[in-house]
Parts: sequence; structure tokens; C-alpha cells
Amino acid sequence: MNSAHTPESILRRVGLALAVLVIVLVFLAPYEWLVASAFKPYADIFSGVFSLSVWTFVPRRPTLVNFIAVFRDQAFGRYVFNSLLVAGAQVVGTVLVSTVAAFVLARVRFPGRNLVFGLVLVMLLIPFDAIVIPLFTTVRTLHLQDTYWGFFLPWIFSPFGIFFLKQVFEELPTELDEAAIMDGASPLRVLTHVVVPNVLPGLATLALFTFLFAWDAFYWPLVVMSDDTKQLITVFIAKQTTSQTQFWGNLFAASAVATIPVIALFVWLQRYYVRGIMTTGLKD
Amino acid sequence: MPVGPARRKGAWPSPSSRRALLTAGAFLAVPLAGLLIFRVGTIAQAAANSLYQYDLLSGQRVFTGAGNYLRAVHDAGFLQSLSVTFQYAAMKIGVQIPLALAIALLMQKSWRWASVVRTAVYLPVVTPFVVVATLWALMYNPTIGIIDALLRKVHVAPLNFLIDPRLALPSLTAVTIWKDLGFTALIFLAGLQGIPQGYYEAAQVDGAGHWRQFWSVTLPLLKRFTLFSLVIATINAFQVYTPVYVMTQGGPLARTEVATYYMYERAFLFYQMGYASALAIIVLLIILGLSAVYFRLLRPE
Amino acid sequence: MPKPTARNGKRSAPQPHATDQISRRRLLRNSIGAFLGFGISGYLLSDGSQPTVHAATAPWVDTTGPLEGAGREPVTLRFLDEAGSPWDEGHEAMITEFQRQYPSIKVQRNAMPFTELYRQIQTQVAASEPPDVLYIDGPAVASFAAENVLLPLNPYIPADDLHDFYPSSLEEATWGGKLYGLASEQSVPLLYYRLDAFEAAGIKPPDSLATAWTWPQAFEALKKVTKPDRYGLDLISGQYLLAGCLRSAGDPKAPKTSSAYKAWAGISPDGRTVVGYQDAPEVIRAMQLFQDMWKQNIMPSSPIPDAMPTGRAAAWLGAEWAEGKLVNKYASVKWSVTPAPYFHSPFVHNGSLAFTVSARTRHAKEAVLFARWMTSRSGERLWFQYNPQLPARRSVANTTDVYKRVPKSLDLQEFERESAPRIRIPIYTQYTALLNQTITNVSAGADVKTEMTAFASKVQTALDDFWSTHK
Repeated sequence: MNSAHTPESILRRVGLALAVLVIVLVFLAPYEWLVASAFKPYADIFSGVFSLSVWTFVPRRPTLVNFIAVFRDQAFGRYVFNSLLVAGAQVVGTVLVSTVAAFVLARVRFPGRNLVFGLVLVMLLIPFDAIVIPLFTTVRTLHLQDTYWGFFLPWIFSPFGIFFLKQVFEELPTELDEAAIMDGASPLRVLTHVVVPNVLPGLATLALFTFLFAWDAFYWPLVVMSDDTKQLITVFIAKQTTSQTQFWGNLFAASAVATIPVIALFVWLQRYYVRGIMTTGLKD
Repeated sequence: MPVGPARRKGAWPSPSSRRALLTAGAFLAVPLAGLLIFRVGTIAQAAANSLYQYDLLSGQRVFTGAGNYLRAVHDAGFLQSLSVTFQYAAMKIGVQIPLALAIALLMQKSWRWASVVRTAVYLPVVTPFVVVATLWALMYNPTIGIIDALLRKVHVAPLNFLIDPRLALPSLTAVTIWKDLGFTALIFLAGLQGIPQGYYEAAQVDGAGHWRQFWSVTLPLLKRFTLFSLVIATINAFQVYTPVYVMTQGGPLARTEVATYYMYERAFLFYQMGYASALAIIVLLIILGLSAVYFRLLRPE
Repeated sequence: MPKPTARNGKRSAPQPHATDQISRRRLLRNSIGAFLGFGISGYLLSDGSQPTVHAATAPWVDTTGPLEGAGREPVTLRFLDEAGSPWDEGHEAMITEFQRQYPSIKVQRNAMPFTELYRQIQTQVAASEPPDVLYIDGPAVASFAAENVLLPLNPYIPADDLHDFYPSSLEEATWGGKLYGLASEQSVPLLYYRLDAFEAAGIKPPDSLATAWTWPQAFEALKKVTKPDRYGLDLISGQYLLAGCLRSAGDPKAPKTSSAYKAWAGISPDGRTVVGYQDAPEVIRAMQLFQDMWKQNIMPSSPIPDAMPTGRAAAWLGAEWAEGKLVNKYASVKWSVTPAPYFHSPFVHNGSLAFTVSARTRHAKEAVLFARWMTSRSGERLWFQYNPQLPARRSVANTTDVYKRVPKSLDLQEFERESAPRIRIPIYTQYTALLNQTITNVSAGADVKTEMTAFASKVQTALDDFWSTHK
């Protein structure tokens, strides 16, 4: 039955096309402005914004001066390297820890399970300002300040990650687990061979979120790291605003470059968002 | 044949609870240790701080017991900040969750423009907030901003979005919704991926159109992710800080002064860390209560 | 109906279209490659060359007397500094030279974005890891001194060296009769205006202090250059400048019990009363004029980046760094300067950042040596190369010609004849936060008298709290 040309379906298509157009404009345009501004000479950045024209989104006199300034004169490359290192480590650590903890909370019925989960959840709820000094004191006791470890180690034990993966694991039916157990698999084997391969979109999502959290971290890196050579991109961007003035050119160039890894990661993880055939053994 | 969840979710029936406990212990050892060191210890310290009057700079600590909590209950500024936070959370969640779900449906791979939508919606999430704040402040400017320029074209009086006390909070909320939408949509997308195609096909065979499929297949199966999104969105809304700090600093007339910003002012500007810690504990209990309500209402069977 | 089957529990690997995969991979590879290219080349190129420092033949600081023995033992100093340009380049270069002159003293610079400076100081102090040397804003020196965070410096500095500093610089960093900070530069505001805007309106602003505008006169002029798509005046950094304008509504020569004097003073001499000072009738009238400027769109109520150079405002009220921006970034804009307007008495705020030493430092001699070295004659001469603003030392200001010519000559004149430091109040961060909120509320249209009275009483409450817990 071909339903492609009924009035209802045409209306649907037009509606969808409009929705896409609006979404793209509203969400894409500001980002385009950021990138374009990064390629504009300083004097053009804000002169092109108020009287909205094509030159707001396309540099009239494209130039690399801002990029040269941040990379050559301000050692931005070092900050990029630091942020990549720290964010990468945080992703790996968080996914590992959260997978293991969430698996047990989702699958193993042990006494006190709900209590543990409740406690984990509570830890998510405290505003950062109240714990920053105790956390800093703890980190100092472990001699982790001014090290790369200090950036991410406290955060890989993430209540958010555990909570999220618990939901993801609970979505997965237990039939496959049970089949594997009857075949004699240990819990660890069940985790690595049965559960994980089937929750890749969930893991990918957690990886992406964790990368974002780590990438955007600002206040904690300031507290824990006093050595500027190890500092992160967010701090670099912040210091483009001083007590006297703002270095907009540098700010936009650095911000534009800062978006590249997160976008690249997003693109790379797209493969896990394919809605494939879910093999579950269900009978109709 | 039944359409809908025909599978049992949850835990295995373990041979013995002792064996289950051992397994749990082995797996949870490292995560729990980390959580204890970095989270439990620090929260306990914050709770301890809340029982004192604590000046960070001079290091003076004076025990006041429940004094800070009693003060908080009568503190008009704090109560106002709670009200602001609730308003913000209600607006943000009420708009962001349904919108994110709608966009997630558009983002599914099976549709032609899905990847375009996906990328576009994700871009604000990755844009540093200082850039977002600058851009939106410009757009909101009554004289030179684009929004008021459009309003003038249709002969509507220009609005002062960030300065008008009635508009400041909604305007700020719009910015944060814009920025966080992609995040929530991705969560829903992960959930949508978990719904087997077979259910939709079965529903179609039963004669269900797109809307009915949505109501009877998609929504029920997304319950778990909806719960998760609600809890996380509520927690994030109650802990919102950076947007206020960068864009409005709590003004005008304290209309955007959310609880965490009020806390920050007490802790670091007014040198009352003990009091701020008590406020943090109170906010924590409020979110805890709300989360408990969510879990009760949306408990997945 | 196809039957999904389990194949040893593994989901079939996703099979995206081949072309999608290839083009996506290529895009990915290219962007990663470009990115790494940036990063690596940036890393390699990032070792900027240091400008040459002409080593003075004599030591920059005399280390006999109280500083005797400084630098004999290896010591590491933690130095909390502002991050960004020009402190990154300038202070790093100066530290390199300092360490060359004193090889056993290592300076660990912790650069902090300005908005985070005070929070980080508190965090580090509370976690028992305070810096040894802190570079903080002038008025904050009084605040921190009152909290016993800073070390008094008088015992370490000979009087004749102190006299080389401008009195304002010393006054700003003094609390309870003791000196706590050494300033490296000074700063006063001027009104920078666009020639095209004012010439088109046929207005020529005054170019000397004697003929300077009053605010009512400036109001009229600015109103004439305000257009529907262009503001008249942009007050950069809001409260920092506004408070000084308000104080000019008072009279420093009036009797000390009069409201005119109190309006100028801002706080009682004993530092315990602000009611009657911050909300004096003269101040309220002055604030009313500013509210009229906001209401009539002469001033923007939300910040616009670089409003004046981009033509979104006809004039800027800013300090010397505003001139720097115009010269360096917007060379095509034609502008001139006029003195900052005043209400009743010609008056502007002065002041800038200062080097201070922590009261809990374990290396007092070395820390004071460093602070004195950075603000020594040679130190400030070197710093001027990176930050061309009025030096805090008379002798250094006299070595450069730029302060004999417009526009910087106006800076010097204003500084010497009609400027004074911002009020010294032990709760400076609270005061600033409350002032910012009040300014926002007034710009939003709230009743000026109500707001200013409420503001004064809130500050008074905080001040009373402070004095009741600190003797």
C-alpha cells in the first residue's frame, strides 16, 4: 500500500521539513557565528554582529591571526594536549568503574542493594561549592594536587555514570544472561561477553557525556592545579577575560578549536547509534 | 501475541544470597572505595561544617549546632532563592524533556535527515558557555539585538530580556534549555535504540498509526529513560550555577538568584562557609525528596 | 514475519552504508589530523622568546637590614597572580630575571583568572596551602588585612623608598595604620569619544581639567549623540567606575559632619558606618541621573563588547587600558579624550593591583624581597614595557615622556589633582557584590532612593557583623 501521496503524508513531510529547518537555524547558526568569528580580524568580530548580514556568518577578511596568536604566543597547544589527556583518562576510568558497579546493582540481587543505590544517588545531589574545600583537602592528603591524576581521579567514581548504566543494563532482558549462566559462565564473563556487547549505545552515550563533563571542567582544575603548564583549555579560555579587558579574538579561536574533539568524538560514536536488529530470541 | 514488555527485567535469581553478596562485594570494592574517599567523606565534612559558623579566611570556627538551619528557615533571601530555583526547574524541565523527546524521535537513524538534526542539536552542548552567554546577551540586547529588531519589525515594543525583572528568569532559562537540549535528546536516543523494531512492526500489523505506536510502544518502553532524564534534569536544574554566574549574577532584583548562587555568595563573598554548607544540605534534602517522588510515580515494573 | 534469533548472545554488528562509512572516516581522519597538527605544531612553536632584560648594575633591592639573609637558603615561593595578558608574559619575564639574580629562590607562579582570584585565595587559605605572595586588587588589600591574611610590610621597607610611591598607592594599601601592599601601577578613568559621532552633532568636548564637563553637561552632550541604534556612553566595568562618579557629588572640603562630605567620603573615618555615607542625598541625586541615562537609552543596561570602537556607543568611560585597546585593536577608529565628568567636585577613583605577602608565609624575607623587587624602580620600569599604565612610582613615571603628551597627560593630571583611592572597607567583596546588584536594579528601573537606602543598610549589617567578630 503506497501512502506516499495522501494529503496527510504531504503535510507530514512539509511539517518535518520545516521542523528541520528551524532546528538547524536555531542550533547551527550560533555555532557558525563562533567559527566565523574565530577567522575574523579582531575589529571585525563585533562590528559584524549587530547589523545582521551575511558577514556575520562569513568572514569578510578571513585571517588566521587569532589561531596564530593562541598557538604560537600563548602555548594553546599545551592546554589542548592536557585537556585531551585528562578527558580521555576520565572517560576510560568512569566507564570502567560505572560498568562494574552498575552491573552488580542491576543484575545481582544482594542484600542491601537498594540502599547502596540510594546512597550512590545521594552523592550526586550535593552542590559543588560545599564540598570543594573538603575534596581539595582529601586530594592534598593523597598528594594528588598539581598532578594530572588530581584532575580526574575523584570524578571517575561517578554516581551519574552508575545511575545511567544501571538504567541501561536494566533495559536489557535477562534471558541472554541466564542462557550464558546455564552454559557455566561466571558473572564476569556474563558482563564482558553478554551484557557489554549489547549495550554499546549506552556505553557510547556515557563516554560522550563523561568526555563533555571533563572537557568543560573549570572550577576544580583551578583548585587542584597551580602549575600553568598542566592546565586545561577551560582555564585558557577564562584568562582571555582579564581585570582590564577581553581578548575576543583569542577567545573565539580557542573556543572553536575546543569544540573539535567533542564533535569528532560524537561523529565517531555515531556508529553505535545505529538502530540495528536487536537479537533477543523473542518469539512472536 | 502480546505487544509490549514480555520480558522480566531485573536481577537473576542467585543461588544464595551469600554468594550474591560476595559477587557484589568483589565488583563493588573499587567503586565503593572511591566513592567513600571522594564523595562520602567530603559530604560528611560539608555536613559537619554546617554546624559551625566558619570564616574561611581567618579560619575561625564557632559551633552553632542547628543555628544555621534555623537561620535558613527565616532567611527571606534564601527562601526567595528556593522559589527562583523551583520556577527555573519547572520551566526548564517542562520544556526541555518533551522537546528533547520530540527531537530524539527525529534523530533516529532510520530517517533521512537524522544526522543533520543530531549534529545541529549537539553543537550548543559542546560550545563553551562563555561564548553562549556572550552571544545570547547580544541577541537579547534591546537596542542592537536581533530578537528585539524582529519585534520592532512587527510593531511590538522591544523587551529588555535580561534586565526586566519579569523576563530575566525565562530569558535565562531559554538559554540553558537551548544549550542542554542535545544532551537530554541523546539520553532519549539511547533509550529509543533499545526498543526492538519488532514491537513497532507488530503494532503496525495490528493497524496502529504513528501516534498510537508512539503512545503504546515508545512511551511505555521509555519509562526508565524518562525517569532517568527527569531525575538528572531536576538535579541539574537545582544545581544550576554557571549561567547565573556568567549572565546575570542573580539580578535584577534577585529574580535570577538561584539557591546555588545564593550559597556561593554566602560562602565566598560573605565569608559564611558554615551557613552555606547548611544551605547545601537543605537543597540536597529537597532534591532527594523530589527524586523519591519521581521514583515512586515512575517506578518501572 | 521475520524472526529475530539469538546468535550466541551477540548482537549482529551494525552495518552502516559503505559510502557513509568511508566519507565519515575520512572526515574524522582529516579533522583529527588537522587537530593534532595544530596541537603538535603549537606545542613546538610555543616557547616564546623572552625580551632582553638589561640587568641593572646595582641590585634592585637593598637586602641589608631587615631583609638580611634573604636568598641564602633554597626557598620556593608560591606566587598567586592574575592570569592572562600582560601578566603572563610580563610577570613570567620578570620572574626569570628575578631568579637569575637570586638563584636560590624559586618562584612558582599560579596564574588565576581574575574573576576566580578571591575564591581561590580563600580555598587555598582554608586548605592550609596559602600562597606566599598574592597579587590582588587595591581595595581588597584592606579587606584581607582586616582578616589577618596579610603581613604588614613597614618593617621591611626604608622610608625613603616608600616616598617614591605616589601617596595614593600607599594609602590604598594601608589598614589600621600599617602598609600591606606595594603597587606596580596606577589607573584613572577618562572619557574616550568617537570623533565622527561628536563632530556630526557639532559638539567639541573640553580637553583640559579646568574646563571639564559636569555630569549634567555630559548628559546633554551624550543625549545629542545617542541614536536609535547607537548608545551615547558605555560604562565599561560598571561599578568600578560608577562608584567614583557618585562620590564626586560630595565635597571633600565640606565640614566632616555634613552630608556633602559624607557623600564624598563613602565611609566613616573609623570604618564602621556607611549609612548616611553611601546613601547621602547627593549620592541619590547623582544615581538618579544615571538612571535617567539608562531609561533614555543613553547607556546600555547590559554589556556590549567593545561598544565604542565598533560604533555601538559614541563614548567610553575607561582607564588607560581602554586606550591600549583602541590603539592596538581598532586603529582605524578616530577618537579623542576628555576628562571624566563630575557632579560637584572634580573627582575620580584611582588604584590598581598590588603585591602583598601572606601572614602565614614561612619565608617572609624572601617573599617580601620578591614583592619589593617586582615593585622596585627597575622592576616597574620593566613592567611598564608590558603594561603601559601610569607607574606607581614617581621616579619611574618621570622617566617616560608619554605622560607629557595627550592623552596620557590627562591621565597624569587627573591622577595628581583629583583622584583618591576607593573606599577602604573590611568587607570589600560583599560591598562590591551588593553594589553590583544595586546598580543592576537601578538600571532595571527600581526606585533609586529605595535601592540606595536598602543598599547602605545591607552593607551596614555586614559591616556590623564583621566588627562584632573582629576586634
